[in-house]
This record gives sequence, C-alpha cells and structure tokens, in this order.
Amino acid sequence: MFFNSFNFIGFFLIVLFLLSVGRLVGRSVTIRNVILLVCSYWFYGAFNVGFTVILAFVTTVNYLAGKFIINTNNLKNRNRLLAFTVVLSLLPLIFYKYAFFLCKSFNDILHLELSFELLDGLILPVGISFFTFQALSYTIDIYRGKIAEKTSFLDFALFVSFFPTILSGPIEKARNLLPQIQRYYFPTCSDVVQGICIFIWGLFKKIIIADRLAYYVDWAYDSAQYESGLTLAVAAIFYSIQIYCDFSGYSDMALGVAKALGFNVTKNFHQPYFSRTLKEFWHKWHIALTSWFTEYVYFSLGGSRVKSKIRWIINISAIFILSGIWHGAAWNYIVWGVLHTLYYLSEHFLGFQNKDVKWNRLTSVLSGLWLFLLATIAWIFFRVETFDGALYILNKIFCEFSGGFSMGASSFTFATTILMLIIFISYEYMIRYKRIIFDVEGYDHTIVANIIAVIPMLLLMGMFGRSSDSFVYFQF
Amino acid sequence: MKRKILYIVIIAVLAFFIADNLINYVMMKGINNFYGLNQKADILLIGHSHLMLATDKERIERETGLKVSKYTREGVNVSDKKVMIEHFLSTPAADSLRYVLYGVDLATFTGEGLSKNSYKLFYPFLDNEFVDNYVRQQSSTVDYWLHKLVKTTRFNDDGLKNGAVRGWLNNWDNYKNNVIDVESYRKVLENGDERRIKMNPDIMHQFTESIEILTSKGIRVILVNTPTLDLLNDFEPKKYNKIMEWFKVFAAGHQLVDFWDFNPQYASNHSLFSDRLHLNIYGQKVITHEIICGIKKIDNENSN
Repeated sequence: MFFNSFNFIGFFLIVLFLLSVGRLVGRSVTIRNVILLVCSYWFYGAFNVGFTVILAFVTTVNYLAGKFIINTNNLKNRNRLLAFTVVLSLLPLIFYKYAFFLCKSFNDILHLELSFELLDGLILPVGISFFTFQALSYTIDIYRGKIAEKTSFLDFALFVSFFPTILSGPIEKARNLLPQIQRYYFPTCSDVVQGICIFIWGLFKKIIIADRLAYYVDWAYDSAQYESGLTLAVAAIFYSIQIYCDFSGYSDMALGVAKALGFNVTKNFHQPYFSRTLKEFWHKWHIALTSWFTEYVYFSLGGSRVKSKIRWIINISAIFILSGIWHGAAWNYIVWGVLHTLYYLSEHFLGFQNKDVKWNRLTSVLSGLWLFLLATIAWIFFRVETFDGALYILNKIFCEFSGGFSMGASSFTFATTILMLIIFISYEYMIRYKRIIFDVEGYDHTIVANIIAVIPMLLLMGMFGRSSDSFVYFQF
Repeated sequence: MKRKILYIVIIAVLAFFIADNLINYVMMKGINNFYGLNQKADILLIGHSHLMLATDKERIERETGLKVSKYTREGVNVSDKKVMIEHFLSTPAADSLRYVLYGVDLATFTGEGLSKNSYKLFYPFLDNEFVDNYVRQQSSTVDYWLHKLVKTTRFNDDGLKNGAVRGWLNNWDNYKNNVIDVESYRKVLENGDERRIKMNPDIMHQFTESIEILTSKGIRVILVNTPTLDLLNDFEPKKYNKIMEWFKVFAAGHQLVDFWDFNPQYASNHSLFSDRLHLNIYGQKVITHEIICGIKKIDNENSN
C-alpha cells in the first residue's frame, strides 16, 4: 500500500473515519492511539504480515530496555543494558540487510567457497532501518536522561509503528513525537487542508518529476554502453533531481498525512540543492538521519570537541561512511560515503565552512552549481550497483562526452519532462521566497495561496503523472 | 477560520473542474483534428503502427483529392480496431465515408505482442457511447470513474498529448529515418526469438464482425498488408502463407472487400524497413504511392 495509490487514499479515509468515531465515543488519547496502532500494523502488514513480527520484536526490546534503564541507577548496568539493546535491535537489520554482504566479503577475502544462497534470497523488510533507528532513539534518550517519564507500551508501540513514517521516515526522535502521541489532539480543518496540500506537493514531486525522470535515467543507465557521455551526464543530473524528488516527495507525503492526523513530524528536506556548502547541504538533506547520526554517533565519538584534528577527521569520516553503509550493504555506498567525507574535509580545510565567509549572489550561485556537480558525481555511485559500473559511467562522461545526444523514448516525452522540471523549479522558488508554505507550521497566512498552488499540480498530475510502485528509499 | 477555509476549498474544487473541462476542450480539439474526426472524410485509415508508418495522409489527400482520416494508433489490437471503427462511425466524420483501409499483417490473429492496456488510448473519447462501454468493460472501476470524472487524466499518455499538439499544429508527419540492421535481426531469428503466428478464432470472429459493420453500411474495405521483412515472413512460412490465403479468400467472398498485399513486391527490399515490422521514410513513400494508385483505380471504377 503505497502513498501514491488509491488503496492508500481508501485506507486513509478509513483511518480518518475511525478517528472521528473514536472522538464521538470519547476524547480519549487511549482510544485514538489504539485506532492508530491497529491501523499502523494493518498498513505495515499489508506489505508482508511476517514483517510485523520484526516490528513487534524491535518495539518490545526497546520498550523493555527503556523500562529497565529508567529504573536502574547503576551506571555499569545501564551501560550493559544499552549495549545489549542496541545489539539486539540491530540484529534483524544486520541479518536482513548485511549478512549476505558480510559473508560474501568474508568468503572473498579468505578465498573460501562457502554457499550463502539462503541469505541471498532474503527479502529486506521495508522500513526496517527507519523504525529500528526510531526505536533506538527512545532507548538512548532514556539512557542519556533526555526522557525521564515512563511511557505506556501502547504509546511506544505507536511511536515505533506510526504509519506515516514507518516506511521511509522521517526518523523521529522520541522526544519529538512521543509527547504528541501522549496528548489528545484532534486535527482542525486547517490542519487537514494543509496536510492535504503538503501531501499533494509530495505526490507532485514523486509522480511528475521523480517517476518521469526515472524513465530516462533507467533507460540511459541500462544502455550505457551505447550512449554518449553527454547523454549519461544528463542522466546523472536527472538522477540527482530524481532521488531528491523521490525521497523528499515521500517525506512530504508522510508529513502531510501526519499533519492531517494532527501530528507534526520533522521536515526531512529544506531545499538542499540551494545550499552553498556541503555542510549546509547535509543540514538540509535527509535531516532526520543526519540529526540521528550527529546526536547518537558523532557526539558519542566526541564530535568536534576532541583534542586532535586527526580524531575529528576520523569522527567525520565515520559518520559519512556509516551513512553510506546505512543505505546498503555494498561497496558503492561506502565509496559514496568516502566521497562525501573528502568533499566535506576539503571544504573545511579550504575555509568555505567558516562563518565569516562573505557570500554574494554570484559566489552563491557558483558554489551551489559546484556543489550540485560534486553531489551528482557521488550519486552515480549510489545509482549504479557496482563500483566498476560507476567508474565506467564516469569514464564515459569525462572521456567520451561527445557522440550525440539521445532524448530517450521520444523527443516529445523529453520535452514534456523538461517542461515539468521548469514548473517544479518555479514551485521551489515560490517555496523559497515563502509565497507558498508546504510545512507543518507558519502556513496560516499562505493557506489560500497553498490551495491555489495545488490546483495546477493536480491537473498536471492527471495529465503528466507517471505511477510507479516503488520509492528509491524503500530499499534502505 | 473554519468557514473561510471551507469556502476556499469549495471555490478551489470548482476552479479545478472548470480548468479540467477547459483543458479537455483544448486537447480534444487537437486530437480530433489529428485523427481526422472533425471532418467529412472519404477515406479512413484504421490500423496500428504498421499502417501509421506506411502512409502519408497529406500526400494521399493531395494526389487523390479525397479527404483522409488517419485513425491509426500504436499497439491497438483487433478488438481495439473494432471500437475505433464504431467510434468513427458514430461521429459526423463518417457521413461521407466511402473507403476504409484496414491494416492487417501476419500477426493480426495472433493476439500477442500488442498492448493489453491499449484501451487506455481511448480515454479521451470517454464521452462517446461506444468508447465508454468498451473502456468500462476493460478497465477497473476506480480507473474508469477517475477518467470519467477528471478529464485531464484522459490525456496521461504522452502519445495522446503529442497527437493533440500535432493536431493543433496540423502536423501529420509520421516516419522513421533509420534502416534495419538485417544481420542483427538474422541473429535474433537464429535464436528463435520471434513471435509465433497464431490464428485465434475469437480474434478472427471480431475481425469479421468489424468488416461486416463497415460493409453493411456500403463502405468499401481494403485490407492492406503493408510490407513486413521477408526474413520474418519466412520464419514460419506455412503459417504465413495460410494467413495470407485466409485474407485472400475472405476478400474474395465479400463483394465490398479487397486485399492488397504489398509483401510479394517489397518484403525483400530491406532498404525500405526501419525494423522487421515497420517501414522507414523510403518505404512510406513507396507504399503511399501504391495506395494512391490503388485508390484512384477503385475510385475510377466506382465512378464508371
């Protein structure tokens, strides 16, 4: 049941209906949370009922751990409990996502000929990386004393399985979402309308931009050997936009659904391609994951408050490489992480991240374009499944640039895709200059503009929308 | 605030449907012009991509002096073509119709290889009774009602949008420039990777019904087998000959039906093909000329 399907619209209307009935029965937070929990498991189980067992396991482990940690004053025991919980929670993730890669690498390095066919056929439970990290944030926050209150199992189970965010985030921190779960709030008319507007904006990005670009990108990469460097360069640029629209589109849909239910979840993207530096980019791209790694890994390693520069470099490298590994068990993701480390460190040592750097319009634009270029090169490693494949594409782009340009399926389709991109960029500028606001807060004075803005989006979706059954980030 | 938002939403919904109908009007005007559904036609071309790429509508009109409606679409099968015929006959464009050139080929009765979702190409014409019934049978309920209510969704296919734009621009060009790589295709055949010819009785029945709809109205039907590559025709020679013989017998048994088979003359001229099934621009010139000559001949016979 994908957000961009009619099944989901039906499901969502049922949820709203049940919540309204629940409200008539009594304005009780328990009734509302029971309804949302059942619906969330129904939503997740629609992909595969078996996956709900893993979800329940991760939920139970972290809930019990939180309960024990909060009741234990002994630091040693707290440390042990936390370590045990982290390992136990990560076990399903490691098994489903990394076991095959680890065993295969082990095999290759030691020149063994062991068979891991069973692991190769495993289906990765959708959203496992997201809900595991979300659940762990609760345990770690309790360990660090950021959450002092005990939480009911019902509230915690809903926090982990909350259907708008379970598949691809945003990875919510317990201290943001749990308090909202614990108090009763019924969405206002304005919440629902704004939620729908945000959802439509996300859907627009997904089916008008991401899915249209995907056709060209898939075609170009599938026939890379026959295409010129210019065609592959355009495909690489398109992929940078595709992955942004795909993932931020999903995140906005999640944001919209949650808003329409009366919940404010973290905005995951703040127009990252308008950034001037990589540091800024990572404050605007997949904000929830960046924030998670920063708070729970980077700070744990000492962050920037370490004595030696080398140690800081190691900390930064660890975050980017971990981020790469989080995306998938393959060397290309690690290379992607390494590339971002190199970009980040170069930028740091060249002084671009200093607060006293003065940016004018020209340097901002040039820097933004340079950043986009660097990000695009790194995305090639993300998109192409093998390291050699990525090198092949890069070699063609830089060494065999000429040789004609292919427009893909037809010149008309290509032209309409470009037209849609222009419209999309216009919307992005309207958002940038706050003519319209597709956010959970601060939209009251733009709500009329927001509603007007979504009408052409709906018409364009009807005429130009491509429907795909997948989101790029579902695989992670 | 609540009331204000409600009013805004109602106005927005109204604005949406007004814009939706306006876009539909503009698009339909283009599409009708592109397919020739808005004119009194003398000749109707019905077929899929073979006939589409084999004929130059404007040249036929110029050289015969007859109005041509080229209602050809990629991937349509026999039942789709039947709907296209019924659709066309239900429009004012059919009042003056005298000849129908119906595209046939070795795979007409195979029923495979063509799009199973080709009914989606008919969404723009959902306001037509025949098309409405057809789409309702073929599509899911949600799909049907979505396209019935929100008209812009009817033009989701890029080919349709392209058709509308070209209709507005009066541009009916349809051709490919490339020449088939025969050696590569030979290798494909050596591997046996080719669609097998079948004669599905249901499809044959639908075909017969389609032709009878036209002949019952006194319209002369010409079954046109535009060239397909000789290597393909020789892949299953017995079946190929059987199907061609069937068309010959069918035409002979119907007073108002002719069968024009261009394969004997042109199938071995590889420079005319863009791929095994479709002609390139040179092939289009040759076959358009043959069709013009054929129509002139028939038209003269009728006049006498």
